[in-house]
Amino acid sequence: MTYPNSLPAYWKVLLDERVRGYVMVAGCALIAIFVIQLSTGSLVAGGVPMLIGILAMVLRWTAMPGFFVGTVAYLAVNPFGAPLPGGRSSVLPSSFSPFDMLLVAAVLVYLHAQFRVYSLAKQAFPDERVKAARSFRDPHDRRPPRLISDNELLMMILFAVGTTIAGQFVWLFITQFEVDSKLFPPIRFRLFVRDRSDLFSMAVSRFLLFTMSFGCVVGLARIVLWYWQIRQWHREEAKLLLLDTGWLESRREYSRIETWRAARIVDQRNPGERWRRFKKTGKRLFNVLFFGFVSICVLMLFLAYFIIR
Amino acid sequence: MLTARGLWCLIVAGAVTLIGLTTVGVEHPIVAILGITLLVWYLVEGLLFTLRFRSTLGKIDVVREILQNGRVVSNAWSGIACTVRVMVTNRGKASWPLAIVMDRAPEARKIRGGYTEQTVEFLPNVPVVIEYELKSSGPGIYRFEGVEIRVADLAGFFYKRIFLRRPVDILILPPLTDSEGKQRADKRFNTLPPPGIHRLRRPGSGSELLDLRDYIAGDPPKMIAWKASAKKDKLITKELESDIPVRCTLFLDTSQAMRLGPVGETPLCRLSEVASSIAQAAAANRDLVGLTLFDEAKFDVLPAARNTVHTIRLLSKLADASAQRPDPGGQEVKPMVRIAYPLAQELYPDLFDRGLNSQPWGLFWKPLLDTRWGWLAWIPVLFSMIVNAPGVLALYYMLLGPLPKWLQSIMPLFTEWINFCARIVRQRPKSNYLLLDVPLFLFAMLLLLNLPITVTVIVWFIHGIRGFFSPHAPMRRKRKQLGAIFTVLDGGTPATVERYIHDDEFFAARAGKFLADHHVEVPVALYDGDGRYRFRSESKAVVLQNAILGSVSRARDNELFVILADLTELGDDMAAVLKAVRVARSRHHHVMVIVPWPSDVPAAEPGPKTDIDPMELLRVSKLVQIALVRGYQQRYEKLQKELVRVGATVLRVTDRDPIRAILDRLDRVRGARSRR
Repeated sequence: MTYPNSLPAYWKVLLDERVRGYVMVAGCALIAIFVIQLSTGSLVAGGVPMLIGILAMVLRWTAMPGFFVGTVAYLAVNPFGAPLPGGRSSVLPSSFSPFDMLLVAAVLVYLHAQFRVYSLAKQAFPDERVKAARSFRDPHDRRPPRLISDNELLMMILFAVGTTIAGQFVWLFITQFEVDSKLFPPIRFRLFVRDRSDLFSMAVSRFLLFTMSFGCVVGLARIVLWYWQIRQWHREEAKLLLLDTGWLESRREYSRIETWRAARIVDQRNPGERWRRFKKTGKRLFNVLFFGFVSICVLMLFLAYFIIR
Repeated sequence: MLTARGLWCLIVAGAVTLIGLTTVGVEHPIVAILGITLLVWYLVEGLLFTLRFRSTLGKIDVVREILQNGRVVSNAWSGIACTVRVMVTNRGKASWPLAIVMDRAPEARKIRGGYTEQTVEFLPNVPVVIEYELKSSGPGIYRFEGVEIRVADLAGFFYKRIFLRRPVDILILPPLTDSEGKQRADKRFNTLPPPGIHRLRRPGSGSELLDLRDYIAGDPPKMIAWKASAKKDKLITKELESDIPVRCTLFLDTSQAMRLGPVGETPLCRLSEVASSIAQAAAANRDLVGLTLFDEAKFDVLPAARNTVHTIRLLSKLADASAQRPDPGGQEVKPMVRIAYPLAQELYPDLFDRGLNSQPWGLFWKPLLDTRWGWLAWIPVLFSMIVNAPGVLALYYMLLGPLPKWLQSIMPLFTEWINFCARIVRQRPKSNYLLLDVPLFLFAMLLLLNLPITVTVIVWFIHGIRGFFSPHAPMRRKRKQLGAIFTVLDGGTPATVERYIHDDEFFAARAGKFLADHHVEVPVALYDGDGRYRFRSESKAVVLQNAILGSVSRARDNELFVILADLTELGDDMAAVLKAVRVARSRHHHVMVIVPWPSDVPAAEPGPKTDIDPMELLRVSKLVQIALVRGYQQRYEKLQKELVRVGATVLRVTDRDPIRAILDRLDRVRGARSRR
């Protein structure tokens, strides 16, 4: 018997007429990566990512795409798997290099296809239930293959290509500009720089430029979306915000009052309980203090004896 | 919003970018380009998802319809399957590429057909239709909370769940009169008055002659009996009977004990069905039917009437009453949190946002001074102040001159103490570096002098830090979040939130109400801490007495009172009910009592008791069961005996046909009056 989450069930979905398109695209992307990496002269650089990609697709290892990206990056630097001289990237260190673009586009297409296959055949929505309520036999929430539209694959590939070009533009920006702390805004065009003695190194400059630009975009988007979110709040959310702010400001005072009030209620309900707990805690405390005191006394006596001697 | 998959993808892309930009980026730009492109992809995906989500969020319509027999109805009938149809429409301009739209079906109701959820591409102006079938065996309420929508992107990086709260209560009315509740067909009396009417042998404006009497000035001339007047040679007037409809008043017990049991199968549901059948059958006879609902505290009267509107109102009241659940009462906080927290998370996901429902670190810290023994922490502080006094005194001496005499007398003690500490500290290992040894000496000296306060600080820290660990921290967090939501729903103040965190009883009561509001089953404690049955209510007898006496005072004629109540548990506290029944009987009203009967308790057989296998008696559980069954049967017999003694008829709801018996009695009431 095959359970909905079993591997055979996963393979069955992969063979679905509509899902097959994604599998084919992922396979093509892997072949492209293989060919591009093979141009560095190393079979390892082409073969290992392909192997990882195939395993990820067949055995549905969800951690594999991340591992795949890391491997591609590593083998792009060290095509033979070890830090030996050679490789393509060191020969063409510029923007809009066709090989770089092809490789990045292929990686993107593969990742797109792989993650969409996971959504179709493995799991599309996280399971929010508490662990105790979950069973491995419960089918995961997936995207039904019938929802795949006709032009979806084409759109995905176009999107990947567009993202690749955008990535190249970002790279062009951070390589053609440099950070100069004496200016405001602190960047200048690289061609205008004559004296580089008091500038940051290339790596630091790129890192700062990318961090700043990425941070600005993300920060700006965050602010805009945050404001949009606030505008969409309904009455209960707004009330909760006010309540929570008030609670944060007055929490300490109320906490003390409520602690004692709760203790008082318990006392009223069980009149003898307080005295019983008092005695019990008192005994325990007395034991701790008494034996602690005795231990300290013994220690002190020992030290005193040691010093006097 | 980020899924685990998305988070790992972001981490990998970030790491590749960082490495590419800082270490290998100059010679191998491909690494940085790959990382940057992945981040751009991620950013674009995230922005697209958020834009689509936000632009559609407030523009979703939900339309719910209940269909029974192909017609849209506002109330459902028990025993008949009904179809729930929910149409969710996106009125925005953007679509959600992948969404699960789920209608939250009523709690504890089985879905008989169809599906409550659909995975769709949520397109603008294309309604998502969800249809499923429900069937209830008993009267009550279908509680529909709303529609849950889970949205994700196609790669599974981003995810959001919303709940469109559209609470609707649909009454499940008791079944329409079935074969057992139909009006009897055999005609007993040839002189039956019109249906619903019987003749009362009192002077009135009816059509049948009651008596003849002497004429009194003012009597209408048309009432003069001319023949009789001629015979007697004086004016004689005719007196006609009074035509009065038969009234039946139903007293339905809605106390806590009646609400025990699975949804739709409680004794209250069963008695509601009986009441409904009686009401409908009587209404078909054009008899007037009234309803009085009573519990431990109050009673609610629906005066007798016989039109259709009244019948529908009566059925609605019965359905409302049947939907009531027992008070879980005396619950511990933990089980309540275990049930209420997931429910609140499901229904109010927006109110669990950390920005709105915060959990500061201080929430988990356990303050030492708030404990009973916390004040003891001041003792070491005081001690520390004393041992540090020489330094203070030295300062006093330097600034203000010689010390007072009494202080001078105790100074040697301090000096000795300091010397003693110094001698101990001198035994420490030395590094022979002055710059290191002097601070170490001072530190060791301070530590020794302030040993008690150091220990106190450690105790304070250990006591406080315990709050950050399980089970304290999760419970605290859940209580705060639930408390804030309860406060928002009730319109409370920040102090109320804090009270929910600290006051167990207050929290448990509100959580119980929250669950009851949403018709969620809570395990009910049948016995209290002292082992007493929680649902035995003496006050119910007094309330029932008042209800019966009220009906007697309102009654214009001898009527039929049908008491549908669990009186078996009352035992010796029946006096009030007996008194009321006696009063009703003295006014010539008929009283019938129908009691619920547990399905696992057999009726007491007359004659010798059946033999029980002696081996069975060796099992404690069997012995307890036998004792409980016998006890219940004996209590019922006693109840029956006492009620019969005062003139009431007692029936069990499991008896062959209690509804038929009541209808017969109604006929008897009608017929007895018509006989001369």
